[in-house]
Amino acid sequence: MKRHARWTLVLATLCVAVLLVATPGCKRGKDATIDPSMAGPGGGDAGGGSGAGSGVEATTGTGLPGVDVEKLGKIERLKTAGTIYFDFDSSALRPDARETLKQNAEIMKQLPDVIIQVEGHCDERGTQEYNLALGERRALAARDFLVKLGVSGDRIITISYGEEFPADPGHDEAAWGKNRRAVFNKAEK
Amino acid sequence: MRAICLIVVGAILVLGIPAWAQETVSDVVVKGREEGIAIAVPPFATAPGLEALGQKMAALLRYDLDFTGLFTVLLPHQYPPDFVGFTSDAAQIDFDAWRATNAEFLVHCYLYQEDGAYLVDCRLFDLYAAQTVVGVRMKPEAGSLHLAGHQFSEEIVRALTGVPGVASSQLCFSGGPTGSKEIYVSDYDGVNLVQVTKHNSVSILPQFSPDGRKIAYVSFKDRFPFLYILDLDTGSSVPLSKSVGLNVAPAWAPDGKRLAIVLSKDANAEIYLVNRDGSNPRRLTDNRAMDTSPSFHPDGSRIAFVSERAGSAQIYAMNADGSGVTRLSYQGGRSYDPAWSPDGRSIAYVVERRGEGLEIYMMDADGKNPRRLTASPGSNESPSWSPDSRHVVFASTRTGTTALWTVNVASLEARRVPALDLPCQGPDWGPRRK
Repeated sequence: MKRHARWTLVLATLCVAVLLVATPGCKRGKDATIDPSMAGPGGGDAGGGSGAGSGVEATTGTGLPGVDVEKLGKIERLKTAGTIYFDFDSSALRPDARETLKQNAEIMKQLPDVIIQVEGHCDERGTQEYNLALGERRALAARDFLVKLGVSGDRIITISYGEEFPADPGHDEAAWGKNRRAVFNKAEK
Repeated sequence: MRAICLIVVGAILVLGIPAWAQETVSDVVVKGREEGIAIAVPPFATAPGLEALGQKMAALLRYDLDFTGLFTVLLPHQYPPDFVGFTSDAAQIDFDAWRATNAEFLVHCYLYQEDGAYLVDCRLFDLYAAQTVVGVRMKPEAGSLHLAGHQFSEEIVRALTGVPGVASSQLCFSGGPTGSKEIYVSDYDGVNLVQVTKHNSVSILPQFSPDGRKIAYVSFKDRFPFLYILDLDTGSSVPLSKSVGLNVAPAWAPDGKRLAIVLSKDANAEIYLVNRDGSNPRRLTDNRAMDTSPSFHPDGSRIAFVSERAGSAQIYAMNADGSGVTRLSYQGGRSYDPAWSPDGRSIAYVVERRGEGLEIYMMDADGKNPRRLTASPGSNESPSWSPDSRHVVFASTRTGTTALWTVNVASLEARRVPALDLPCQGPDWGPRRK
C-alpha cells in the first residue's frame, strides 16, 4: 500500500511538472554544448531535418517507441544527468546506479518535450559483436528503470555503442570500470 | 572484376595422387611440414625485363602452397646444385636433377608480354610419373597478374588434394583506430588493401554476400547503429535497416536474397530475417533474453546464434523459420560469434572463461567434439571460415595491436595475415574469385 501511495505521488508530481513546464513557447535549456565534430556518442547534429511532424508514436507492448530516429534534430548530452556504471558483463543496475537514475528521472521529468536517448557502452572485453548487444541491454535496463520512475517510455530511446567509444582508452580494470556505462542525451523531436 | 581466363593448354592428367588426398578435408591430419607434398616453385622464366616480377610471382605461389599446410615447399638451397634458372622451354628441364632433390612435384612458369598484356604459361609436373598434371595459359586482365597467380595455386591444390585452395579469396574487415573505423577489403594474404567506405565514422562487422560482390555492415555514419549494403562494383551504399535501437550483426542467407539481422525495436535484441532490400522483416526469436550473432548453415536450413536464454551467452541453432531451437555450447564459459563452416560440418565460435581471455573454438555442427583452436594471451574473436573449411580467420590482440590471424584447423598452425599495417577487426572471409 505504501508503494501504491508513492506511485500516486510520483504521478501527481509528474502531472504538475508537465503543466508547469510544457507551456507553449517554453524554451529548452541550452545548458549543454557538444563538439559537433565529434563523430561518436552524444555528438553531432548531422541529422538535419526540422523534426516537424515527426512525432512519437505510442509504444506497443514493451517495444521501443516508434520514433523515426533519422528525423530527430540535434542530440546532445544531458549534462545534468549522471552517468551510471555497470559490473563486468552485466546489465544489472547497481545501487549507486539506481540512486543516480532516480535523480536523472526527476531531471528528465522537467524536460517533457525532448526525447531522451540512453547510450549503452561496454569495456573492450567480450567480442565486438556481442558488446553491441550488451551495450543495448544496459541502455534498456536504464530505460526500464526510468519508466518505472515515471518517465514516459514513449520518449526514451536507446543506442548502443558497444565497445567502440571507450571513455578511458586504458586496458585495465580502472579503465574498464569507467567504460561500462550508460549516459543520457536529449534529442530534439 | 572477373579477372582472367584459364586456358588449358595441355592434357590434364592427374596421376600418382596419394590416396588420402581423395578424402574429405576434415579427415586429413597434417602432422608436420615434413609430411606435406614436396613441391618446388623456382622463379618463373621470363621475357627480358620481367625477371623481378617472375621472382615475385613464384614467391606468391610458394606462399599460397605453404599456407595450405599440405605442402613442403622446397627452399632455394634444396634446388639442384647446377640450377641457375628456367628457360621458357619446359622441355629443357633436367628432370633427373629435380628428382634427386626429393621434390615430388615441380612448377614451371614462363611470364611474357604480348601487345602490352601479360601472359603466363604454367605447368605442374609430377616428377615421378614424368607427367604434366596441370597446364594452363593465363592472360590476366590489367592489374590481375597476382590474382592469376593465386588462381593457378588453387589449381595446383585442387589437382593434388581434390579440393581447390583459397588463394583467390578476399577478406573484408573494419580497420582503423578506436572511434574511426572504415571497411576494407584485401586479398587473403593482406595484399591489395582497398578502403571501400569513406564514412568518417565507425563502420564495423562487414559480411561478404555469397557472391563476394556486396558487403553488409554496421555503421554509425547516420548517428545510429544502422545496417547498410555496399555494392563493390558501383561503390554505392544503401540502407538495409534503420529501426530505432540496434541494427547489427548481419548474416547473409546462402541464396544471397535475405539476411538475418539483429534489431532491438522490441526493447530486446532479437533476430529477424529480412529481404536484401530490407523489406518483409520476420522475427525469428521471441524470448526475454538477448539473441544475436546469427550465422547460416550453408544450405540455409539452420541458423546458429548466440542467446542468453539460459543465463549466460551460449551458442544455439534454430531452423531458418525460428523453430527447432537446440543449444550447442557447454564449455563452462560464455560463448560468442558462431560461424558455420562452408562444408556445413563445423561451427567456429569464441569461448570466454574467466581469467583466460577469449579463445577461438570449433565444434561439430551438432555441438559435439568441441576443441580449442587458439591458445594465446589477449582476445581472439570474430572467427570466419575459408571457402575450403580448412582455415579460420579471426581478430587477435596477441601482439598488442588488433590484427588478423588465421589458424589451420587441422594442424592448429596460426599465422598473422601479413602486409596489413592498420588495426583490424571483425574479419569475414569471402568466396574464391572467378
